[in-house]
Amino acid sequence: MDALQDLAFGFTVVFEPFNLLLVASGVLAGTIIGMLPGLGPIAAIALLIPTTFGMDPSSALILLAGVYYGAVFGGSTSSILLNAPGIAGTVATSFDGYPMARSGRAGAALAIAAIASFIGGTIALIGLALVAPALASVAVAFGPAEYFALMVLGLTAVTSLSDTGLVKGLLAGTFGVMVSIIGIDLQTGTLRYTFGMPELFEGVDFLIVALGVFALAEVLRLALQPQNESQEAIGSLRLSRRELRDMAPATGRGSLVGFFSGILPGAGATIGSFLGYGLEKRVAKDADTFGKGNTKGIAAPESANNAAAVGSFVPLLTLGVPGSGTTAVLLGALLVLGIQPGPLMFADRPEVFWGVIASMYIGNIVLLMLNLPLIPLLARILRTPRPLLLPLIIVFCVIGVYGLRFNTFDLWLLLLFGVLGFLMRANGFPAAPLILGLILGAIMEESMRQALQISGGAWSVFLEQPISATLLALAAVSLLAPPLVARWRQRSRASVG
Amino acid sequence: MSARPVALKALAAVFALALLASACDEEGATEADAADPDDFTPSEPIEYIAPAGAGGGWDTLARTTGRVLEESDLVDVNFPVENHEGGGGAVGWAHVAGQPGDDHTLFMASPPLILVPLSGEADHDHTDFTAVSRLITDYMIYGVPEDSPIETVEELFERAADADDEDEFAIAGGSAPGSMDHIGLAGAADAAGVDAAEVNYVPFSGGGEAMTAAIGGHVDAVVTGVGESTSQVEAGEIRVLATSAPEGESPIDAPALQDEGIDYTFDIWRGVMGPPDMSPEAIAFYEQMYADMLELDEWAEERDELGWIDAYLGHDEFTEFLDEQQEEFEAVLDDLGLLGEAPDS
Amino acid sequence: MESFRFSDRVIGLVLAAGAVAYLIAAWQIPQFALDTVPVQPRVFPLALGALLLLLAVLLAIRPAGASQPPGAEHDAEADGSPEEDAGSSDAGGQARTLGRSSRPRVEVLILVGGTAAYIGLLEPLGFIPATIAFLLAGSWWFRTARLWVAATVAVGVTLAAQLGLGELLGVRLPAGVLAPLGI
Repeated sequence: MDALQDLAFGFTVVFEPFNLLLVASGVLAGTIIGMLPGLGPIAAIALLIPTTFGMDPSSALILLAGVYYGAVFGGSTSSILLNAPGIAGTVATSFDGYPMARSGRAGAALAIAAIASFIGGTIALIGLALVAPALASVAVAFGPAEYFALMVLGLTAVTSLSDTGLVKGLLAGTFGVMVSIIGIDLQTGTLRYTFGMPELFEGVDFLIVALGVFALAEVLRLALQPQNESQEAIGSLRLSRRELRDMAPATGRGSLVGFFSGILPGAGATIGSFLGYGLEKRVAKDADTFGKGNTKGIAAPESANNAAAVGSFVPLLTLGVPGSGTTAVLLGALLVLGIQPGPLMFADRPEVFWGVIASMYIGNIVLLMLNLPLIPLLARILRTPRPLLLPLIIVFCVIGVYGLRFNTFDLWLLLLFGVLGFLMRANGFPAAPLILGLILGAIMEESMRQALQISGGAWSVFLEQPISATLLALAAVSLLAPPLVARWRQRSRASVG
Repeated sequence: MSARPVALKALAAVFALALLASACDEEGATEADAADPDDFTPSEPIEYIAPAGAGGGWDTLARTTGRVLEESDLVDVNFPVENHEGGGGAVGWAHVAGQPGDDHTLFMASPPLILVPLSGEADHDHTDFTAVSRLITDYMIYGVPEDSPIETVEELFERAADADDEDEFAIAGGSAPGSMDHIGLAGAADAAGVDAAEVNYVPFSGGGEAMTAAIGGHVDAVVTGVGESTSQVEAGEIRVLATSAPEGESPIDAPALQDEGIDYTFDIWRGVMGPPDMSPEAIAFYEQMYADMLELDEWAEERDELGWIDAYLGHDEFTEFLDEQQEEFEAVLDDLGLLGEAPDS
Repeated sequence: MESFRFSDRVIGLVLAAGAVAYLIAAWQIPQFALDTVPVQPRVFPLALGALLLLLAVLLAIRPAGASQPPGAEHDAEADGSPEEDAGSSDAGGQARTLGRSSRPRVEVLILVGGTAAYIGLLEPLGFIPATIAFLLAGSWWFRTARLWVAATVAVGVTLAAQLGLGELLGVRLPAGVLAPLGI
């Protein structure tokens, strides 16, 4: 087995003391940067690329892999503790992570996130090592028609994210899609809903909306609650055996869903985590406790976003096509290091390929070892007295959004979405469908129009392709089943409340 | 100033500056010849602007040149890169246009600086800025999936022209209609005697996505930059029929369009520009600095890794080149019917 | 939060009006010149606007009982944070808040206005002065127990952010009035 030998060689490289130091500092730096909203893995890697010059390629890759992992985990931390997703891929984590932290189990929530991330990363890495070359064909099999079908399937999750009534959920989802198409229309170059403001030409950044409707809206809501003298408890990191048992299948499913969405260029960690969350909620027997601190609701998106982060290396390494913003930056770093990823790399420079895999794996382990002890420290953020914490969260969001483009325009948008998110909550509109529509809407429209452009306007294209037909059928099934469940759930809730 | 709506502020600024810019630009340009590069030395860090986010072409150019310059002894100040993202460049351009006469601000430029204003989506075009130096170039590839029956670029355009609803023929590119990849395709189609408006161009959000679609057989052909396509081309996934380089200068193992009898070239040039009304001394200094930078071994190393081709032009030639580009693109966009309203004329 | 709760009828009508405005705007998106484009840029927005209109009307006309009971929006946290619900303003009729105003609408207005002032002053005043001022004002408004602790934290966090982001990570925060100091 050449592959195994190569992998073993990859590990010997990583285990050099200097490289271990690099991966540890990379993970730490990445975690801190990732916690700051607005600074995600893209920024973290871009910022650290200059420090890798002069290093040999494998050391550089090891450092960057550590940063990447750290940043993804850091994003989960702020999602869970502050309801302020540090990066897009961790929005779904906040749905259950934040309620769990608020109920005094911040430590456990962070521990679940760390463990699920670790498992997700591990499963995905095994997948990457074993079948990456074969998976390249999966990535290219997805053309516009298939993406359209996938996005439709993703959007059906709106129904399962609409706890407070389907009509309100659909309204929020529709609004999210509306926000997503603001800007220059890729298919025609036409400006839509930009009102002559160049700041809107490239659309509304996802993070602005997420921080507004989650973090800022939460601050407004907390301001309406009287001072609570008892400080937030952090709780122990310990998880009960039942929680661990519950978590296992959720993590497994999340890992697979995440890995496959990571493979598809353009889908990535955000969509993976939402699909993972949606799937888990659908199969769960205790679906009604989702959104209130269900451990499975943390494990699924967390394993999915890490698995997707690894999965996005498949198109990068096997096709030379970056599947996400992060891998685009990594591609640049690799090129500067004299490595041209692509179909030839696997054959020509197997040591680099396996070196990447080995360093990602070590990054994954170091992340777990470093962050589990850090959790109590991180969770202490919640001990900050609320009169101080609320203004601090606002500042935190403002810095994050300002850092995106150095633009106060975006800050006004942030405030606007904060007020909107608050009003939505006060009136029983769920925020999650809005975010889902925002992520999937634009891609759905774009791939639909690409497919029709290719087919010369023939709509049959979506049903003629086997993958797209299958996905659309799945979407139809998942649309038909949940409304009945939701109606039943609503009725039972009404009788309780 | 308090919490006034930003849109208003921006609007006011843009108006004021457009006036200023158009008033001051020409003098600065003509005096540069006489100026001596020794009469100016930067005294503070350069505001080194990529009018786009991290990771893109402008950003890579800014970070690479900035690093080479900082490590060299050509100049003593730093080049901290600022990403002013938005509007396909328009937000960054508006920012630079807002600092007329600032000799310590430079920004990265490439064909979108001409194309975006032509489609009416930016308030500033290249004449609002000071051209400093063109640095590098890259060319387009016209490629097909490796198992495609099409053998020559002529055949490609024939097929594209003959296509109808029964027999679709789609060509993918990595940008919106009316922007770089589409212009490179339309210009070549036109030179090949095909009505460019008839070619079914399918825009993807990047060259990588466009190539993936071609490899997967979802489209019939792809247009993108040579640099972006290297790995797929070397691996034989994409077969290049032609590049947009001048005759005999194709950088890869494929003929140039001109070698194939289609008289068309397209440069994906990248250069450095400054705010309106830069002092002639500063222009002369930076011009010289970049000319010297291109001679450095450190530059040669990074350039080759990134697959760039040196294509230096100084201030005067670069300015002239930009004017020619604008004329040429305007004609192509006009043919396509994609010309927007002219920017503040 | 009940001070911000409106009936489904009112929300539905407002959203319907918004949907109509959106549709009008969609209609004004120019047609694309190239006739090879099968779907014009306005088609999708028109469909979205129609969907929003339909849903909004549905929300407005359905019987009041069909909506979730009052307080349902609180469910997301209710199970998780029992200690909060005890004193929750939503449960009792009397509104109480964290800040100095006892009226929720004033409270939210002050907070939004304060944040707006912060955003507006960020660039002219600079990150450091604006942020310290905002943190101080914010914690005073929320009746912090010890103002000097708040002041220490405000200054510490602001300087740490400036140092960490500005100096180490190269994120340029606005210097404002402190620009002459070379920050």
